Amino acid sequence: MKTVQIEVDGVVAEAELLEDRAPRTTAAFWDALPITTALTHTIWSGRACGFSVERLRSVDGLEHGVCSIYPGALVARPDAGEVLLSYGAAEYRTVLGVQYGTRIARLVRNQAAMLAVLERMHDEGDKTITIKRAGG
Amino acid sequence: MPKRIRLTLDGVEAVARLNEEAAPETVAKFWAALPVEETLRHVRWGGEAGYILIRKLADKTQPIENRISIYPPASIGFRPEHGEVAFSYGQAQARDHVRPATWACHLATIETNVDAFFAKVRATRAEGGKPIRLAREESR
Amino acid sequence: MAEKTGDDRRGTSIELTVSGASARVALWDDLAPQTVAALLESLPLEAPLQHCKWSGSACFADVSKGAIAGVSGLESPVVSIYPGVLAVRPPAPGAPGAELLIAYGDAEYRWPDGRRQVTPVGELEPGAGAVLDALAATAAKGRTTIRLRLAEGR
Repeated sequence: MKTVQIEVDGVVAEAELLEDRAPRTTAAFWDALPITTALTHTIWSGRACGFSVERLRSVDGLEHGVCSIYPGALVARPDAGEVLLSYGAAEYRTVLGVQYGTRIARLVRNQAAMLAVLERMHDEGDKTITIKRAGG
Repeated sequence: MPKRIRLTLDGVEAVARLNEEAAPETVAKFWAALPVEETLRHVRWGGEAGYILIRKLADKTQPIENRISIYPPASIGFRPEHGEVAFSYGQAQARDHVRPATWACHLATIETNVDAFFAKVRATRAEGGKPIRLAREESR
Repeated sequence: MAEKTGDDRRGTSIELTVSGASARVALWDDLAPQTVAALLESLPLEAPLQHCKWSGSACFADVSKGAIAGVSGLESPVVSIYPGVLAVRPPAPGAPGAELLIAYGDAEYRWPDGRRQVTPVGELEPGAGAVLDALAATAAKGRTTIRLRLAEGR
């Protein structure tokens, strides 16, 4: 199973890609790595932070569509080239209301520390996220 | 003479007119609670707005006067169940995790220095929380 | 196994059995402390399990007895039930007792009038393929039974 390393503000966590549930979307995500980009707190979706992955726009449609984003889950909206990572209560929403995304990964190592960093963004503002291929 | 408040957000001042005629009870309680100093943060569910919580005004039983759900730009909205005061700079609505759309009181409208004030509100998204002070605007 | 579910989530585990297939469920004490406590107090638990009509690839069981049937309010409410997740719908107006739900694929809690929320209480630990298959089989084979009990060495 492919894993990725996620770093924000000096905190490093590991996430496993849900390839069996979302093969096309996780493949596009994997192909886009490594990335270093802005991480911004969401304004509609609750306790989550988001970043752009333009390569995801090549994916047509959703696989394993969800609207709720559990803590530690990464959910992508390929049509928006966007991924959200949740640190608490979160649901994928825009100005138009509830939206659906493809769940592509879940944190499996050092989750608590990473979620704490994301939570601080509500007070501290934007940060930078770096994601690299790890195992697999 | 309508009641007004002076807001100071990270060094930027603005004046807002309270909707006393449309929301008499809410304005009276709000007025009594001033001055207030808090940290303004960007909303997480409601869109293009910032918010503060005034805990002493939280009252789940308080009826919502002058009801809106969509916050007009330059508005100040108030949700009594949380004591939440929201400052809308664009497309925004009263929302939370379990209520995708709900009601708030249209408490006030900012009348002066609108662009500069809401530029600061908008900036909280990228820059994080900023100090805000709300006080009664005495007649000059 | 604990690392695969997030190394900071070493909560209690229970054993779940459906149609002869068993697996462990790691409970999320951090997300739903009161609901998890009520569930543990209700064990061992056995109830008829059938496929959902409105909520997608998931099965449900009505639970009218035990502490879980009286749990009040949602905790960490969600609409989507991720595959392998066990969730609880607490008593609601017009729906006395609780409902247990477990998803084996894409699922979202719905009633005839639309989306509603549940409390996620845990998820199947890796290696639960036989349980997921048993859940999926209820769509064609009909009602079965779900059993929950404390896992040994939890």
